[in-house]
Formats: sequence, C-alpha cells, structure tokens
Amino acid sequence: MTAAIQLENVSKIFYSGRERVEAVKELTCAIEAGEVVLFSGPSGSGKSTLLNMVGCLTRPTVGRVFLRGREVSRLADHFRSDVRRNEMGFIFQQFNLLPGYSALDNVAMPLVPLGLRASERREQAGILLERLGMSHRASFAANELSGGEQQRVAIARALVGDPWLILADEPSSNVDMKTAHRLLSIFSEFKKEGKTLVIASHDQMLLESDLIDRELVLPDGEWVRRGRSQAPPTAV
Amino acid sequence: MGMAKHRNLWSVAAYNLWRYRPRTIAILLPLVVVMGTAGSVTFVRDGLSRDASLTVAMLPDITVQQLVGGRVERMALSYGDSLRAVEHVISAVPRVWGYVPVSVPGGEAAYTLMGIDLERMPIAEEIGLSVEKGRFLVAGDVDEAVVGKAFASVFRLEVGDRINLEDALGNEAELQIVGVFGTAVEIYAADLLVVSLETARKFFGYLESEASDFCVYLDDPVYADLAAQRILEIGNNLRVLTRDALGELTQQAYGGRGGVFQLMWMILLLTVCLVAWAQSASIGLALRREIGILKAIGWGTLDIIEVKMLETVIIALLGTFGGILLGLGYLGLGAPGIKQYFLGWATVYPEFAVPIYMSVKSLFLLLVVGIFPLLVATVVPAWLVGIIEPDEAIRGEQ
Repeated sequence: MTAAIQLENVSKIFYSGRERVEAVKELTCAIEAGEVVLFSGPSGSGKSTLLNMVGCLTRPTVGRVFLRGREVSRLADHFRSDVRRNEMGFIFQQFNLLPGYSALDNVAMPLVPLGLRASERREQAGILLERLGMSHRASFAANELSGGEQQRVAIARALVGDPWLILADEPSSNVDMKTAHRLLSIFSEFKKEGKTLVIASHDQMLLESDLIDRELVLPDGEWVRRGRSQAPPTAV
Repeated sequence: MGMAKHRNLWSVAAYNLWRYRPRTIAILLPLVVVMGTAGSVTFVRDGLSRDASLTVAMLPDITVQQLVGGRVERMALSYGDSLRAVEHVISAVPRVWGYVPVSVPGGEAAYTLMGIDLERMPIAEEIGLSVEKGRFLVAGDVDEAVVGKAFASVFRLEVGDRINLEDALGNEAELQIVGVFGTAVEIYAADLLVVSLETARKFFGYLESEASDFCVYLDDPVYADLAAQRILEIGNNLRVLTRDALGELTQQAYGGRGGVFQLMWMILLLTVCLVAWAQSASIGLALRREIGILKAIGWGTLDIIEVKMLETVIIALLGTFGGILLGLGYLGLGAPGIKQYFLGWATVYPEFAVPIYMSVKSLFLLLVVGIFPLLVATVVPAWLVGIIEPDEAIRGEQ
C-alpha cells in the first residue's frame, strides 16, 4: 500500500553567509493516511524545515518527497501551488493571517483563485468559522483578534479547501493553556474525520496527549510510538 | 472558472489599494501631478501644431515675393501676367500686408493687417471661418475692416467701432469695424485685421501698381514644384515658396518650442520612472511576506503577478486620467506659466486663448508613459518574489 507521505533520503542545506547549515540530514520515513504524527526535537533540529518540505513550502536540497505516491518535490512551481491548494492545509506558528482583511476574508482567501463567487466563498468560510466558534468575530480584522482567535481563523483557513492533510507548525507555542486544550480537541476531531495530521512541536502537552500516534524525534529521525493508536509503525 | 477568477483577482487588487491607502496615495499623487503637467504641455503643443497645420491649409499653392538685396520688397502688379502665363497656374492674386504696432496693456504688440483681393482670394474651409458679428468684407469696402474674435475681445471692439492705426513709418488709418470673425485657428482670431486691397495699399503707402506678394493657385497642387521652377525662370530676384515648404517652416517654428517640450517630456518620463521605482521599492518585507503567505495557501505565482499588475493598472489609470483632468483644468485657467512660453510671439495678448487639442496619439502616449514604467517596476519585483519558495518569502530571505 502507498504511504500518504513518503520522504526518501531528504536533506535540506541552508547557507548563512559562508556557513553551511544542514537543517535536515538524509531522512527517510513514511506516514500512513489518517495518522497523527509529531515531529519533535529541540530548537534547530529541523522540525519546521521538514514540515515545510512536506507542505511544499520549500524543496529538499537532496532527496524526494511523495504525497499519495506522487513526487511533489520536483514539480513545477504552479503544480506545487495546486498541491498546496487542493491537498493540504497549513497552520503556521505565527498564524500568518493577512492584515487588513477580516477573519472571514482570510479564511476565504485560498478560494479566490478558484473563481468562486464572493458569496459562495464567504458561505464556506462562515461555516468553518462557526465550527471553530469564531462566527461572532467573522467581520473583525485579523489584527483585531487575540492570539487564540487568530489561531482558530488560521485553522479555519487551513480547512477551507477540505484537505486530506493538515500540517501544523508549533501550533501551541503562541497561545495560552486554555486555547491549547481547545486546539487538542479540534485536532482530535480531524483525527476522527480521518485526516492525516502532521505537527511540528516540542510542546510537552502535545507529547503527552492521546492525539499523537507516532513521534519522529529529530535530528536523529528515531520513531517513537505514542498514544493508543493501532496504526502500525512505519519507521524505516 | 475563467472570467470569474479574474474578477475575483480584480476585487482583491482594488481592495489591496484601499488596504494600503497611504502607500497608494503616496504613489498616486505625484503621478497625477506628473501626468497633469505632461498632459497640459502635450495638449498645448498639439493645439499649436494643429493651428499651424490649419494655417498651412490657408496658404496658396505658391507664394511669390520679390527680393532686393536679400530683403522682401514690393512687387509690381505686372508680374501677375507673367505668373498667370506659367503652365498649371490658374490664378495669381496680389496681397498687400504688413505689421501694425498696437498699444496694449504692458507694451506694444505687432498685429497683421492683411489686404486681400475680395473677389479672387479663396478662403480654405479647413480654418472654419465664420462671421460672428456684422458681415464680412465685400468688394468696394474702403477703410473698413473685419477682425478676429480674440482681437475684438482684447480691445473690446464692437461692429461699428472705429480704430486708429499707425505703422512704424508713421502711416495712419482710421478703420471702421464691420464684422468680427471666428476661426478654428487661434492665431488668426487673435492676430489678424482683414481689409480690402485698396485699404491696405492706402495705409502702407503702396502704389496702385504694387503688391506685397502674389498668391498663386494651380489647377493641381501636384505640379507645385514644377510651376515653382518655371516661376523662378521669370526673374532671378524672386522668392518662390510652395505650400509644402512654407508648411515645413511653420512646423519648424512650432517645433523650436517643441525642443523644450521634448526636454520637459524627458524630465517627466524620469519622474514617472522615479514614481515607478518608489512603487517597486514598496514591495518590501511586509509585501514579500504576504506574497509568501498567498503562495503557501495555494495561490499560484501567476495569480499573484496578476493581482500586482491589476493594482498597478488601477493606479496608473487613475493617475493618468486624474492627471489629464488636472491638466485640462490648468489649461482652462489659462495655463499660467507655460502660456507665455508657447505663445511667445504674442505674449502681450491678455486674452489669447491657449489652443488646446487632444489627439488620440497623444492620449495613447500619455497612457503608455503613465502605465508602462509602473507596470515593469511592479510586475518584475512581484515576479521575482513570486518565484521563490513560499517559506523563504515568508521568512524574508532572498
């Protein structure tokens, strides 16, 4: 059976002036559909870089990334945009909402290039905001929302294309404890819906939750089984 | 999807301009001023050029003058018979004309007193001559004149009024205004007093047998050069000017001022480029990050470039048309500042309307100058950001 996500010998090298930084080193792994996987490790271990490579936000310097059996790491730029739009939703650590746009318009923004009418886009975005308990803030500008509210808007935006894959980068690092618990509950819903969820975090609360099926510890790439999932380990 | 997608991108572009109002205004305002200046100068230049073209239409096929010691001198009317004998010449009409100094507020101005053969001188339709008050001259009118509308307005003349003229040699005349004419040519309307041949002769002290020059009309203007050659054979002291040659001289006279116009255009073009550069530089870190976010949520590079392009087109169109309206408003106020320069030969005419003409070519040129540099300066940086990976754009790396 084809893995939902497969990384083959991927490395990512950055250059800072003359300094060469190998953020991810020759990593090979596979993630099954419906799994909730945590990329963990200390700061600078390459969690976010690895997540960005899975999310087609950056290309590996070496190696290949496959989503549902299709290699995405070497796709042309516009095909990678299609992949990001149609197959995944990304929740950023800093939320990355567009300032000056309302919460509703931020959620609807990924639908703009699809050619949907404004009323249709807003209807879809409104449903998601309601699901995340944010409908009362729909008309507020992104910069008028609290951190927790911004995060829920960012989650709604990640869901608006009905993706099978959700990627979250340090989702609990910029929110308070109460919001973090609510976040766990939202992620649990995704899990029940059968979505594949990949989270990059070193948050102990996430590590200790039942949500995570497996943990990939970076920079070594060791797999650790977590939670009560019956999913088979696919460590390579 | 098709058009609906582009409509969506249009609305995002328009909203972005609203969202970044201070930046939009900072680009729009100088653009409006620059395009307003460019527009007003262009329309005056076009107006003058058009006046010059219409003036040429009024010219005879060939103008013949006599030179003595290199200066234009009076001609004997007997030349008329020799001219009419030249092949393709259908008529040779004498004119008597000269300049008349007239006191105006702030000094003196030289107006043209033109004596024409009222029975034989054709009036070209192109100059749009119309008698607005009184009547035009008829054969036999002596000491009577028709004047241009602008001239009448400057001196507050009405039909029936009398004016006293005195030339540099002390020749004097008292003329009665019998009509006021309007014309599409501002120069004629402001500069010309038309009288009969007899009146002009009397004023300038010409003999019955003398004229200033001859207007020669041909059966077909195609033969102008050939006929001019034949006329030159009549006497080697003749100056023979075809309509084309005079037209060229007239355009060159306007073109001389056009040289400064070119310089002004270069300065304006540079200013637009500077505005464009400011627009380009405005794709700073915040916008790079936004482009990265849009890419990360599934927008394609082309979608982003389209939005940036549309933002620029909206700004450029607003700036260009706003500038054109501003320029027209400025010209409507009498174009203070540039009027004296462009109408240099008539600066003492207090009410000389600035000729304005808006040609399709000039409008197109203004649009190109207003839009193209901005478009290049916006789309290229947007494309450069658009093609980098979203992660790098969001983090602000190169």
